[in-house]
Amino acid sequence: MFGAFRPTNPLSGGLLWKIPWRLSKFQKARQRKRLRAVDSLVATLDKALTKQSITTKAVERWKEEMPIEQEMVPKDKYTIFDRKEKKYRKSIRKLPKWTRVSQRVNPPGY
Amino acid sequence: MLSRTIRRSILDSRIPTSALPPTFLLPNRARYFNSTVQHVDAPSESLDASLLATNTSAEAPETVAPVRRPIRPKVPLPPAPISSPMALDASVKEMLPLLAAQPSHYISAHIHAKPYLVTAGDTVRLPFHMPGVVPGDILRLNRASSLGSRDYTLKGTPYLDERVFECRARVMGTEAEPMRTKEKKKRRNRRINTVKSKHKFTILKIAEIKINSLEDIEGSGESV
Amino acid sequence: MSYFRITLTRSGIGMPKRTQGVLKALGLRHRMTTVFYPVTPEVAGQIMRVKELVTVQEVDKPLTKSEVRAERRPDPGFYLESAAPRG
Repeated sequence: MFGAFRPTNPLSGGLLWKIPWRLSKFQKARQRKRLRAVDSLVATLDKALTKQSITTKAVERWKEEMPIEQEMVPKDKYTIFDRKEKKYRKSIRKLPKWTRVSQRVNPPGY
Repeated sequence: MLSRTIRRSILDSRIPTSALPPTFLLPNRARYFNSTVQHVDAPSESLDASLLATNTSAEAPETVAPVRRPIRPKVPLPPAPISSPMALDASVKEMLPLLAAQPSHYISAHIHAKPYLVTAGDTVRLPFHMPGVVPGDILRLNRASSLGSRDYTLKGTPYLDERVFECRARVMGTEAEPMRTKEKKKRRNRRINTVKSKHKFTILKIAEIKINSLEDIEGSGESV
Repeated sequence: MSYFRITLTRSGIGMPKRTQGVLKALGLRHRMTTVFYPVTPEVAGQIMRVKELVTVQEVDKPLTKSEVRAERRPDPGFYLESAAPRG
């Protein structure tokens, strides 16, 4: 009954999820760093293009749609919308290749 | 029989000091002078690189076809003097004579971006064999991240200006590690390959650490 | 005429084929390769496709491969002041 191998809820199931659902403070810091890196890259592109008075659709669209890291709320930085989750939110680390893709905006209201 | 050995031992102890070999041949010193001939690569090229370049240009019209790349000297040649005036901080100007007045100094000299924290008289075994140098060569170390004494430290950002100090090192020779053997074997195969390696390491002795006075630093800046 | 200096810092392994194709088109075969391209809308669009994987700087002149390598080589930190006689 008691002891190291007592039948608790996670052990009695077939699967044992050991991945914590939230990011550690270091992971969050690195996530912010990655977001800022993308921001600075877009800023560099924009500066170089405006010098030659060229506009590019991809850059313009990014600037219009995507918030920069400082404008984002913490909820959007570290979690994403998922319709199957209990509170419609799951950790951003569940997103495949989450360190190498940009995922900044979520459905309004969620 | 016994008396003879005793007599000899007495005689041995009375050997005059003049009969002893000079100190530089004592085993602990003689280690630095390798008895075997050292393999040194192309010393003349590295020394007279500028002279060599002029020679090849003079001979160039005769042999047209082979385009030869400029020979890269194995030992870095003295850099061109820095013409820009040195911008020393007021606090550095104030404290530099105090640092120079201290009895002994240490320096964190960087050779190939690796720091060596040394003081005058130290022996450094570099972790590599420096090509193109022979024992007796004097190297000038011109890249340092910090320079200090017991009470003061001058730190570089990240490196100190090389006109502030003079640091010289003498090449003492090379040292070799014991032969290493490693057996290489693949699975499901009886063949064993034995790899041998024996590396050489250059030994330096820090001959001098000097801090230039403010007049010297500023004087050299003006003359250039 | 200014140029983009593009360095691949994150690998494209596991990314969609389209993304990997963009890297290949830019000539970025493995991490820490550096390429130079003039500032044009086409190159800017390509960079936007792989913006999470690369770092970009705007430079005036493209460097050759050997110059990029020489940038990375640290200073030797010494030079031969006086040579001993050699036989």
